[in-house]
Amino acid sequence: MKLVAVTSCPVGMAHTFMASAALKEAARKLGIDIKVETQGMAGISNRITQSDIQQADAAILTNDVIIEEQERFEGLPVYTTSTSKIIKNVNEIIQETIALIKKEKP
Amino acid sequence: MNKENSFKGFFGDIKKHLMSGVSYMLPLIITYALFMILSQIPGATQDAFSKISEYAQMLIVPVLTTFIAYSIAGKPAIATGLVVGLLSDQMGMGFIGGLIVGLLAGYFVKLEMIVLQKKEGGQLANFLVSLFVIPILTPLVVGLFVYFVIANPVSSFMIMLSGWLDNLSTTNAVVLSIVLGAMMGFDMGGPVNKIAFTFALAAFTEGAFNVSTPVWVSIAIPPLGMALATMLAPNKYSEEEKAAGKNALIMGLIGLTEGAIPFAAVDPFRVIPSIMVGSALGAAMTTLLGVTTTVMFPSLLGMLGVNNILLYLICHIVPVIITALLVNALKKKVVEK
Repeated sequence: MKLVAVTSCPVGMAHTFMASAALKEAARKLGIDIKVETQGMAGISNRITQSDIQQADAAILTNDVIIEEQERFEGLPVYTTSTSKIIKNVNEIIQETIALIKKEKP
Repeated sequence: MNKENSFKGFFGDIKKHLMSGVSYMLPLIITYALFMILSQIPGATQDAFSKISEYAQMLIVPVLTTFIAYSIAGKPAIATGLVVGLLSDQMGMGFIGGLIVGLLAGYFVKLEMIVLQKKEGGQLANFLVSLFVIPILTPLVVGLFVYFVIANPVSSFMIMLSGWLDNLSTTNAVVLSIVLGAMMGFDMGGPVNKIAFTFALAAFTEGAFNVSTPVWVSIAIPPLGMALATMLAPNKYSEEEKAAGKNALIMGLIGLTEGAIPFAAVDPFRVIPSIMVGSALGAAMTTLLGVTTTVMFPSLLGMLGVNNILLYLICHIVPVIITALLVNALKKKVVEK
């Protein structure tokens, strides 16, 4: 299984990167491959490419602020949440994303 | 599961659009405030720096408006957003006006797109829409609405608000600071924190530094307080928390409230009240001692524009110590597994 995620918060200095770290750590423990793009004050880093998206089973996107180039994820199951929810309940969010994949691709 | 009901979803969306606007606007405020300080240095660069600062300030509200509209309706909203944003700012509607006009412009463009997309018109119709409707109809409708309907009430409200903020009695000012400071500590960078932060930003762009400074001061207290707490009573914290304490020290010095989140996540009922007390106390002390800073930086960087460095430091150190003592008094010893 492979997931892609984009995190972005209003100031773009802390929540963005804490959510990214939480996702990577939780995915590592669960043995899930994940790539997390951050859209912070300094712009996009670790950009998710078209080939990442083709390999991915689902995307996790934050909705604190507008995500740049969100149209990339069209056609992929998208789980929308906020950076603070990721920081607090990252495992739950990954489980729900997995459930979403199963629902959309039985 | 991931679908909220539409009413709640709509207001959630509004919050997202407003925060997107704030997010794109923030760097401009930093530029404006920093160059304003630099322009006070006499010399050949003085005029250049004061112009940079002045133009950056001029762009704050238009950029806010534009990116709220952009968040709602995408690229077609940018041109209109800039124009009506500048219009509303020049008409004295300030930060609050920028928020309102951004929402208006964004939703109007979105409405146009929905209405026009329903009619399948082929290429010619598309061509006409992009050429005439969006760049002409939007500024026409929103612009006239702003000019004739909302500019007066909103600008009078802004004058009233800034007059009220300038002439706050000490008691009211302290109460305001306590409320804002407690909000800053409550969710450490989350939605409640951002409401207080946005209010302080609005005050800051209006030059009400007496209102914004207490809020900036309250930013660094939660992480610094928790860092100190782990040092004072290491036996009350797990190994992970002690590591988080070192991290929180750095985050506190930079001015990121989020450094306290790991502690609040593990033990919210002891940690959150303690840091709220600390943040509120820091904000109240700042108001009482009359400390102001003309930059929008918290923590160490806030000293760049401060009127009294010693008092500024005291406004941090005392609440940090109180936070640490309070949380440690509430905490019990940790039994390591």
